[in-house]
Formats: sequence, structure tokens, C-alpha cells
Amino acid sequence: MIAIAMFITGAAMVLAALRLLRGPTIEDRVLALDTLYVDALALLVLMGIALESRVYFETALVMAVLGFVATVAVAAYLRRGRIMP
Amino acid sequence: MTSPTDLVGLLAVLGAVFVLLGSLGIVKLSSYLLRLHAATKASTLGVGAILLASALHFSAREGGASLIEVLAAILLFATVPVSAQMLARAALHMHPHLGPPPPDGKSRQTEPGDDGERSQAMGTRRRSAGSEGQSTPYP
Repeated sequence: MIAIAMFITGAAMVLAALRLLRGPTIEDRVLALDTLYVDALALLVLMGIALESRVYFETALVMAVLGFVATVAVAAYLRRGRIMP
Repeated sequence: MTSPTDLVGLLAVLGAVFVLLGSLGIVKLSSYLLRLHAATKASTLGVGAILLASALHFSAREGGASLIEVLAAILLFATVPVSAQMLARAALHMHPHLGPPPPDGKSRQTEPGDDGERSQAMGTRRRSAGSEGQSTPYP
């Protein structure tokens, strides 16, 4: 069951990468990258279940924080032309 | 009779299906705001289910509750709507025609952020206080 879930999440990452390559505007690409890191986080958690290890979970936690900061920084740059207020 | 292993597998597949639905919405939907909606809602629910599956699995294996998944779920549920709102405001700044038209039928001229809304509200108040013929801005 975990292997099936990993395959489905991999298919979701392929779809998000399709929008990342094809997206007509830059916001589409940022949204696709945002979805891609959330999907990678889900895949890491599933991999931790499959391999019976807690190491991957802390990687997923760091990935969540870094992805949020990156998305907010790019969105602020697109909106205001600079990142810091 | 469901053992914890069956429940973990079921939750993991359910979460993966929701993640796939979110990515499918990103590829198939027509407008940017629709894509943002699909990605945020579906991915949050899917990752929540997968994190619940992980918490159940490690709690059953090690005996005792495993709480780091709850930490990750709280972090994710707090940050995903914030980044989605920042992305929506950036998109409305770069493409103002994506948003709804203003109620008086004119084209949007100010930025749809906090400054634009504030100046629009002040303009409405000044127009209604002026009482030059049309006193009601919303017919």
C-alpha cells in the first residue's frame, strides 16, 4: 500500500513539473514549484514509513520551512519589486 | 477487522490520491486563481492524511505517541494558506484583470493591495460627502 501511495505521489510530481515547464506566466511556475515541494515532502514522509526510519522526517520538516520562506520571498518580490519592506 | 497496518496504508493511499488531485487541478484548470485554489486545498488535505498515517505507524511501532508529525502538520497548515495568499496578491498585482470588477463598473486603476483599497474607500467617502448630484456610488 505504501508503494502504491509513493507511485501516486510521483505521478503528482510529474504533473506539477509539467505545469512548471509549460506555465504561461511566472506565477504559474512559482505555484508549480510550491506544489512540487509539498509533494516532495509527502514523498519523503512515505519513504520514511517504507524504510522504517525517522531520519527522513526531519529532512521533510526543514524542507517545509525552506519552501515556505522561498515562496513568500518570490511572491513579495513579484508584488513589490523588492523582498524586504 | 482493521489492524493499524491496514489503516496506515489506507490513509497513505487516500492522501496520495488527494495530492494527485491537486496536481491534476494545476495542469487542467483554466484560470490562475482556480489553479491556486485546487493546489492549496487538495495538497493540504493530502499531506495531512499522509502525516496522520506516519504518526499512526510510528506510534504503533514504538508504543507511545509520536508527536513530531503533529508539529509538521501544524507548521504546514499554518504556512500553506499564507503563501497562497501572497501568491494571489502577487498575481492580482501583475494581472489586475484576474480579479472581480469594481462595483461602479469602471476599470480598476489602483493596485488591489492594502493601499489601493484604502484609497478607494477614501475616494468613495469623499464622493458621498461631496453631494454633487449623484450621492450614491452604488446604484
